[in-house]
Amino acid sequence: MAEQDILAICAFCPAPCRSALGEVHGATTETRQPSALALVARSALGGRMPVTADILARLGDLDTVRTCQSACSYGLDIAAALEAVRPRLEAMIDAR
Amino acid sequence: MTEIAPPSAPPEDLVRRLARIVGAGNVLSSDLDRFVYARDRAPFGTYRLREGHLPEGWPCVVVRPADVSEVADVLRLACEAGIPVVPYGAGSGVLGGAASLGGEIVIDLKRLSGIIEIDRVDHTANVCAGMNGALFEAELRRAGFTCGHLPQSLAMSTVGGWVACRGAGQASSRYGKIEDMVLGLEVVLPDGRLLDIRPQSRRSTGPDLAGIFVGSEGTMGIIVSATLRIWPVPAARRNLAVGFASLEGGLECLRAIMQAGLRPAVVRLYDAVESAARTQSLDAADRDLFLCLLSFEGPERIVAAEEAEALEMIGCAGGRRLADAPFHEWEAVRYQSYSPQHQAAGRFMDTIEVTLPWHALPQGYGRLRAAAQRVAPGAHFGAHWSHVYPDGACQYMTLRLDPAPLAEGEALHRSVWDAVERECVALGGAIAHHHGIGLLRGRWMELEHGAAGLDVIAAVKRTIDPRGIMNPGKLGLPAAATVRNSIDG
Repeated sequence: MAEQDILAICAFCPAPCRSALGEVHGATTETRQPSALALVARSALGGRMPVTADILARLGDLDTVRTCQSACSYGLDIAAALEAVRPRLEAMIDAR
Repeated sequence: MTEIAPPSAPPEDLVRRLARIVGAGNVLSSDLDRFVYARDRAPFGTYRLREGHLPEGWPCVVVRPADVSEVADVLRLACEAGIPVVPYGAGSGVLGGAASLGGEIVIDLKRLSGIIEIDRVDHTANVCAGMNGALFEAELRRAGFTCGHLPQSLAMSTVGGWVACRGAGQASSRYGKIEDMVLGLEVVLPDGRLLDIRPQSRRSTGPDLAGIFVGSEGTMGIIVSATLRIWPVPAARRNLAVGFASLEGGLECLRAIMQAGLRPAVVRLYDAVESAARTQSLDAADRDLFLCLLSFEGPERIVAAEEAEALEMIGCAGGRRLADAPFHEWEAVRYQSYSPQHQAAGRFMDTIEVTLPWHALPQGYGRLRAAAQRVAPGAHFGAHWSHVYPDGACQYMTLRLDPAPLAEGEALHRSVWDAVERECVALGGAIAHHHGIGLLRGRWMELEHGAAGLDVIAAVKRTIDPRGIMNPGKLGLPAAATVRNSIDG
């Protein structure tokens, strides 16, 4: 499956994987959840959100995404998908 | 596509004042954070997002208080400044109850997490509102209890969210809805005062104060903790998959089971469309039946007696036991609520759950299906009954409209909702069983409560929240002129 399709599934999933965070669930912002980062990446790739240094940095913060992977109902590797699209996002920031 | 400029950043003075309350690290003011917290899981919001549209309303700023005192200080500040607030749990709501209309302070409550106390004598748990549902249940299980509230959204929702939207779990026929479990609440009022509704099993002390806040969707105050009934982990459990030759027979049998005093933990009767999808693993002769799943739990002898009684009643109604496979197949996915294949195909999916009295069933099923299909001929319409009581049942309907241009799909989606909700009230039903009102359902609140009823709710709201800062535009209550409901325009 293409990275864009994987991110699309995750972006609109209601995110039951969040319970995998256990004790740190309360300390984790929505922005670090895989579904949020998938939505952000998708919006940026689609040209709807400006790609900024802040956005790139946040999209590289994948600890929460990796923790949630064990509870993904669809067996998706969102961290790998986000890493795969990163060069395209970096090119978008360079082109600005 | 054109980049959309994010709504303006929050005033620096506001960020500084909030940081003094919750700490700078718990004030999220970047465009990215505000974008992420702008949405919940309302399908009508997702239709726009998947087409590349960003939310029209972005919160001004997000704060993450650590305790009740910080929640109170944030609300005091918001109240003084006249800034609207949106309480936010896990954002799993499907009616837009946690969606931003623009310019609010979003108060993310997930740092208020954990069980404060389990009372092993009274069988109650005092729990912080921001605790994840699955983690709450897991911790109770380790202590030998269950919360009895097991919604499909268990892993993606918070306890406070359950209470705020008056939710229901898959075992509601035995344990009740959340309003049946709430014994006490702590609520921070918009002016920062703490309202402590002390837990009691029953009282006769005037109108039910907790009832003002259970189902209020953050429009009256912020629920910061709840004392809930809990139950010992059942010693025994027996599951049944049965089939009925007719839907009428199945519904009549469930009514008889509940009115006879049996209390199955799980009851799920499916219409022909949903039965067909769940009986593929059965023998051909069983695939035309209306599938019903039942589960009894509790002390072994009571469970055995309930199962035997239920099987006898099922037999009298023309039903018969099937292989267990459909039950196990449901159990394997009971906490999943997402259909990536339909999302990817661009279908307009949604669910509508209403309550109907038994006397309006089963004709109500046909009438609601006809109402939907008159507006959207050929649309997928399936239904099941999974919250069943002695006096009525929830009819849970799944809709899928074919891919279409966004404006066309949105209009059709709204028309189907309107047709179903109006027909439901005509049948004597309630427009919502457990998903709440949020943004989308507000337009039918007067139909549900009558003008006088909605006036009473609005008057209570004005008294508690005279500046109208609490989750404006939700619950069918008017928003202040400064905020705009992007659903109604």
